[in-house]
Amino acid sequence: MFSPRATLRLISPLSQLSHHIHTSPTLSATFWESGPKFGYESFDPEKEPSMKEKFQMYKGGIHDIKKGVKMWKEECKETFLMDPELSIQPNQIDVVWKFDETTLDNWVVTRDKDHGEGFSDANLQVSTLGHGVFSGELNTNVPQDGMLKKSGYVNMRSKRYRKSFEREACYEWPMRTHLVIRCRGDGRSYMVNLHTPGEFDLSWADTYSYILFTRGGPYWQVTRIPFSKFFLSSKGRVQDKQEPIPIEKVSSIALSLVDKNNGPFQLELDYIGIEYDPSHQEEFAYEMYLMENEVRGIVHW
Amino acid sequence: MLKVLKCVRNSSMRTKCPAQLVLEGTKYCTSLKQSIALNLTSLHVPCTRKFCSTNDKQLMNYIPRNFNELDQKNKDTFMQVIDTFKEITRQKTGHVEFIDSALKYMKDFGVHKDLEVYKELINVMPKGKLVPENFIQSEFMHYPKQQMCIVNLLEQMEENGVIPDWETQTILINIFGERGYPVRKYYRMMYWMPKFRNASPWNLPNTVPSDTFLLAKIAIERIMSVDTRAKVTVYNSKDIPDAIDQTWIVSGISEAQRGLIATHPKEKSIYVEGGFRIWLRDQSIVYYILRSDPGPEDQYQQEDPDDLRNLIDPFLIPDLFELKKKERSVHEQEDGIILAVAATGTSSQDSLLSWVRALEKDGNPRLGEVPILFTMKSPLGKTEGNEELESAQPSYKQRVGGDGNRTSEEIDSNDKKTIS
Repeated sequence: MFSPRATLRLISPLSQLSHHIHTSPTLSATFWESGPKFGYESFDPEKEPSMKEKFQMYKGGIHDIKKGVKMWKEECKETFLMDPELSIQPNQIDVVWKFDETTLDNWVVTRDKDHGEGFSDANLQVSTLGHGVFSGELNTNVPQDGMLKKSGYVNMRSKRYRKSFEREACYEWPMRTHLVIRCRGDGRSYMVNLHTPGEFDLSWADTYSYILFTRGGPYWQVTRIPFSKFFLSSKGRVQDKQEPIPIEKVSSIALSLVDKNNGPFQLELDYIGIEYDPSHQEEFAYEMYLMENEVRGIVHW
Repeated sequence: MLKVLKCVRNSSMRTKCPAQLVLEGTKYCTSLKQSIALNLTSLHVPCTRKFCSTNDKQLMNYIPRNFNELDQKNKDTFMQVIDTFKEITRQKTGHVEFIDSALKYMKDFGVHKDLEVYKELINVMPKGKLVPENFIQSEFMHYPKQQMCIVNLLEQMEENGVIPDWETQTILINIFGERGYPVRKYYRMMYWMPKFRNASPWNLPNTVPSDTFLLAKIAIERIMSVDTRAKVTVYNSKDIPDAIDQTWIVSGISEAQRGLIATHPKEKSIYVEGGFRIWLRDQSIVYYILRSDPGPEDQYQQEDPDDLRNLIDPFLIPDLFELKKKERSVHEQEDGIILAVAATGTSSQDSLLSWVRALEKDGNPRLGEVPILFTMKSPLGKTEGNEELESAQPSYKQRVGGDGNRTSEEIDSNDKKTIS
């Protein structure tokens, strides 16, 4: 029948008139965001689920409650015993993400092919030794749809850290200064992204990034990246207004490859951990002096 | 200008250009041939601006928009197109369209990493005309199409790793004023790009050579940077008897690895595995490794030197150092002991055989006594196609090296099929 909008038009000729008053094209790009996935949702959130799907959801919910109670018990114990963390050993690596058969489900691999925006391929598998191998093929060909300018990325991201009963939470890394990655790459440079989403839609895409350089070859490498070197970017754009990474707000980590070289890639991962190095005094590696108009690099504006 | 004049004098194709194109003070480059004038009618974007004179209109129809038509694609012809454009338009209009199309074809001409060309392209824009004169113009992006065009150009520079210089700043400020968006973009580039220019611990030249031999040398040196005592040697398969392929072999081996080969047990086999791929900026190369299975875990030292619970008084135990187990070197990994790394000119099985023979001659006599197996499969990861090794299926491992009298039973000790 009639949509609410159509009835409104019939009732009010004024509203109808207002459609013709525009003197310039309406602004298509606004700051408003539809959701934390920025329009890349894999399902339609407004679609009504069928009865069968609803039943499945209720069933899953009850199962989640059971799981949640168990997790909550553990959390209570941990808080009682370990909070606050009193003894942080210097130069001791605490493994946060270990890559083996059981933990690979915690990672989500995305590529430009998923949304018809490119032709790259990637997957995360178990290696012969039981580590994780992020491999595939990068392809920078742009689909000829008239909209896309560039393409060619692959990305693996850990699922958001959640406490019991699916509560969204952040990692607690008090005093830690370094991110430690043990990997075996292929000579390409990867991007390490630490996601620190904020409350409002402008800060949902806040990401602190740094480069993971790999040597290539048959040898493993242990890379220590100081947290002070991570710089803020949002939706792939480095921001003018920089600040040190809020370590208590990290919710997930991602490794991505966007180096624009067509061809196969391979990154074998053992673990990603954190470390406290008392000799590391640097707070932020980038200049923090005040700049007029907040344009990076301009001193006298 | 002299160059252009010379072009005109030497012209043989000039007569083919339509007569109305040649105005006063307009010069044509002959190396562009008639490509500027011909075959472009369907591709050009005609000038629709009211204030253009008829002469300008005619000229706009002949601006070289299709760089594909040029016979020679190199820096000289690209620069000549830019020069010609400047001459034709006399800085009136069509800059955005010209730069947009030029950006698309830069890679085809091999100039996408050339700062000089980028600067020349920015220089096409008229000076002074686009500078905002009051605060309203300044606030609302004066001449937005022109500004976005140059921002796109700067972004392409950024993608190709071209860092601008001070002259670029002067040109940009002359065109867009001090607060233009391209100028801001330039400042950001000048802040961030030099920071990451040399951030890699394994530094590479700005343009990696496309020659495979030089590439192989850089790659093997980079891999062997794990061990400071490693040496990269270049062997020639001419020097090795019975070698079929005449090619080069870049091999990397360290003192520690020589020691590991010397102490390798005779009954355990060594594998030649590959090829694996290593990337050096936009180039990549395939390398091979010499690997043996890892030893048992308990032969290595597992003690934590910082553990204070069981202190030993070194004065009471005179042979303390003998008691200690072997410390794991960087080459002894959990997935195998890496004994050497190499890249060859042909990546063929014969060249790899020559490599093993060269290593044997070069102070590793143990390699002649140990069975050596060529394999495609490796616990280290995905290997890439070497058709020769694949065709050796079903027994994908082939025995080479060593003395020919060794019986196959000895080699089969590792439960692996071999061909003697």
